[in-house]
Amino acid sequence: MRLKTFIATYLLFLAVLFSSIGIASFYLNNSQIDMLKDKSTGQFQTIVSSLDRDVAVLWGRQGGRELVEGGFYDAVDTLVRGYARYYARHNIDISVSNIRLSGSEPPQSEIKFIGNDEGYFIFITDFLAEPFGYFLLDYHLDITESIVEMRSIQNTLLFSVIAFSIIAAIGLYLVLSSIFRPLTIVAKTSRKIASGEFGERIPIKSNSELAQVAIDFNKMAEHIERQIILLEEEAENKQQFVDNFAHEMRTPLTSIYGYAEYMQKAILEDGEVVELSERIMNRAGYLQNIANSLLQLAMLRDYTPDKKAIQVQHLFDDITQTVKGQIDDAGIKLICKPDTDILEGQEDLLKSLMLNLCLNAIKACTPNKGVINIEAEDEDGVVTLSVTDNGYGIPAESLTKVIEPFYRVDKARNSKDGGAGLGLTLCHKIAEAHGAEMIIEPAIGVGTSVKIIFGNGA
Amino acid sequence: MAHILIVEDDQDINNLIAKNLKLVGHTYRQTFDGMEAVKMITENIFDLVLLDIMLPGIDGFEVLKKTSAEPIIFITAKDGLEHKLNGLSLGADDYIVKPFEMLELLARIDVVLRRAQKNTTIFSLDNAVVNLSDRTVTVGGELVDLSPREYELLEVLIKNQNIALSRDKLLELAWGYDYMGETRTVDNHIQKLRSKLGWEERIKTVYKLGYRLEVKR
Repeated sequence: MRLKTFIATYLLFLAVLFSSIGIASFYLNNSQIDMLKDKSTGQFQTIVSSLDRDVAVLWGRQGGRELVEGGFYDAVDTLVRGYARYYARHNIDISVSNIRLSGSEPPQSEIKFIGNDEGYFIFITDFLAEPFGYFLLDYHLDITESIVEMRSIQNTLLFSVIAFSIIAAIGLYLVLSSIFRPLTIVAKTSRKIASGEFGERIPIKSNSELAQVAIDFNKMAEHIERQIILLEEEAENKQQFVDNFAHEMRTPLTSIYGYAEYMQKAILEDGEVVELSERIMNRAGYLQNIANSLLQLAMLRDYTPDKKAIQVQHLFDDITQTVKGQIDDAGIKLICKPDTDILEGQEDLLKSLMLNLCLNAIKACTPNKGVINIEAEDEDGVVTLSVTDNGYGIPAESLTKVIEPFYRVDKARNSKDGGAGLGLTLCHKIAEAHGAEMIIEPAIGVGTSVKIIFGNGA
Repeated sequence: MAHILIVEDDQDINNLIAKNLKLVGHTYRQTFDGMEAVKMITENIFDLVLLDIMLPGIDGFEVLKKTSAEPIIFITAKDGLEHKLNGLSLGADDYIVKPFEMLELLARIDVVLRRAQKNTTIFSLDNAVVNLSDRTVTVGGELVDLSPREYELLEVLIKNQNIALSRDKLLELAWGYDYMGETRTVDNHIQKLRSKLGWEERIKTVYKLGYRLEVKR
């Protein structure tokens, strides 16, 4: 790209330069010769008029007689020799021929420029004025010197032009390099990005249009990088999900297989059949719960809830009824404050959400000391449901992660409390499907508060 | 047999391992958390520790670093090679991946115990005494002549006492994987063992399954 531009520009430059030089020297040459011709013509005229006068004087001195014609011719010869001697100093040969004597066909009067091996000459031939028109004057000017001088000037010019072209070539190359440098950087950077180094950026130095290109390019690169990171995160999340899922399946399966194997092969004591099959059924139930939760999660993806007006009081009563056994057993206090009447949503989903939050709260509470508050409030049309407990709380670093599937605050805490770590994931999905936001935060004092904030008109 | 510490936070699996250890005659202690495991290991003597990697408090690797003397078998749900290598390079004697079969766990325990020379060498039941180290069997003080295959079968039964073993499993364990024998062969050998050792009431036929050496405890 850069090389092509360089060659094209340079060739164009050379063509323009040399053709103008050529045209210039052609005209220079011609005008020089014309000038010399003009000069010579002027000189010739001077010589002719001077000769005219002198020849007339000579003729007068001879008395104009025919008898002395020969003497007159000799006198003219002598005169012309004097002229020739004088003009030879100016590189001019002058000769006069007598047509009457030579008898040859009189040549045309003419002016011509001759260049040959011997040099460059201007020839002028003309007759003297009448009555001496039979004298023909030959003027022969040697202009080799001025032509050679001109040629040498032309050569000097040519050499300096060539030198100038070389300098121009270097200059052009440097200019092009500096123009193309940003493009080279863009090319290099895009190659790096193409090969997977998504963090690569173009340094922005000036405010030129190329800087704008660089800014746009960087924006594009940033966008790509963000997408790639998102994809990687997504893949990682999926992998994490699969790993966690495998782990969640394996532990109960180990129990189920092991207990069944034991029942088959060992000598069982009284009542052991009941105990062992109870364990197997319990673990199978746990797997069933995971399957249900996963199905529900799958169902909730891109799900639009069938929204209806729900009586909040009714919803709260339902939940209280469902968890009554558990809270009575654990000696936990459950306080409901439905400060709003109506909530828009799909009842079974919202019930499942609130129930999950309540069950989590119950698990978090210390028996006989726990207090759980279930509230609903309406602030300028924004309905908020909240479940607050005074239990052991969630560590700060886990607050954002608890909604990830299979996430457990205590990594090693196995399913003693019955959960696979899908409850809050499900709650989050249900909230999301309702266009609501789920916020999990430490409650004032101790415990955890989970708020579901329904958007305006949600 | 051996005294074994079970460190596993899943109550079901912990209990299951305990039940199986009890069957074959090992004694055991159970714990569900890492710190307690370290405490128990330092305060007691165990022949072997079965150690889960994911534990509350401190994990299995940490437990391993804080203890040294006992043979260790890792129990892990993660079958990533990295974890295996990590476990073995830290000095664990073996590892087993969940879910596992109890027979496999018992076999691995047996191998590790034998390597650590902590396995029992004498097994006696009724009048019969089996010396597992020099492979001799006496009944009432009289040396009993057993074919090598009969002895192998006897050892398998003793090591998996109180566990019913299918004829196929017995073939696999006593004859080897590549033995193409018939299950009838197993029946013949069992009959011979019963009469030679006087264990007619000890080696029980388990309906639809196979045989079990029953040792009352």
